[in-house]
Amino acid sequence: MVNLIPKSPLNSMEPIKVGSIVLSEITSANMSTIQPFKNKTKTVSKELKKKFNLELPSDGKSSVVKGNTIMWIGMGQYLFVGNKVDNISAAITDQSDAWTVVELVGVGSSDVMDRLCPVDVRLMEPGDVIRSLLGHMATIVRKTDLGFELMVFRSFSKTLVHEIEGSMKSIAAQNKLKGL
Amino acid sequence: MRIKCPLCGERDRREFYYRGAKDYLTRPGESDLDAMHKYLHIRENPCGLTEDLWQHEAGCRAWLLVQRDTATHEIFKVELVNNVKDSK
Repeated sequence: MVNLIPKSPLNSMEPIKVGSIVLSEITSANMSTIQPFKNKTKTVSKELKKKFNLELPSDGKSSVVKGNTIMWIGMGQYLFVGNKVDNISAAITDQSDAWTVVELVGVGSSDVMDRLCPVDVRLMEPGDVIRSLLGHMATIVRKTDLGFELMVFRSFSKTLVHEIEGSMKSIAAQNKLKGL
Repeated sequence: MRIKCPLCGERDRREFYYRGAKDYLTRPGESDLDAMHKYLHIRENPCGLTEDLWQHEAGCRAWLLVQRDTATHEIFKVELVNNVKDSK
């Protein structure tokens, strides 16, 4: 059988560097959403603890254990990145290839977010997750130690890069004018 | 205008979708035509305290019951519709 080469949403684009800020694509393995059945949230948490040694995070949080990441992404909905998940008391939907994931890091990455997102991302601690807007796109924003991990639907990948790159360049230009 | 989502905290209005009056939570039986007409078309449209449904569309996607003042834009209370429904 022909061995097809998987193509990531941004086709493994070269990282975009403007001043101290870097935007790069993250290509990840399996992704699935977990939506616990009614009144089964605690059960699902226990099942995940047994299988992967991690529990469902509280609203607006995420956790990483042994290469698996689980994050809250909405009311009664969680995103699991890493291993494949099955046989738990929840509806599981495969989301692999469905999302464009990028990382925005460096001094000034919050300034870039200020231009695009109506939430004050400076209040976020590493591991915090919000769902909000980035330009006009619904997005998942996760704060990491170095910056932000941003996720939008795969079909918005080019718009995402366009919006962020524009904001990065604008910030850099303003800093230059100020002599920073 | 900012709405304090019980799950996400205070957020900008542009993240929310407006559905309409609280009446949408109590749908009458299909056979009662007068009640259905009232449910679909008859609204109080008050100047002052009102209760209506919003969805945190660009956020956690929860449906919210928002108590607010149409004259002053003050928001008094925001609840998850899930909780309101469950307590009935």
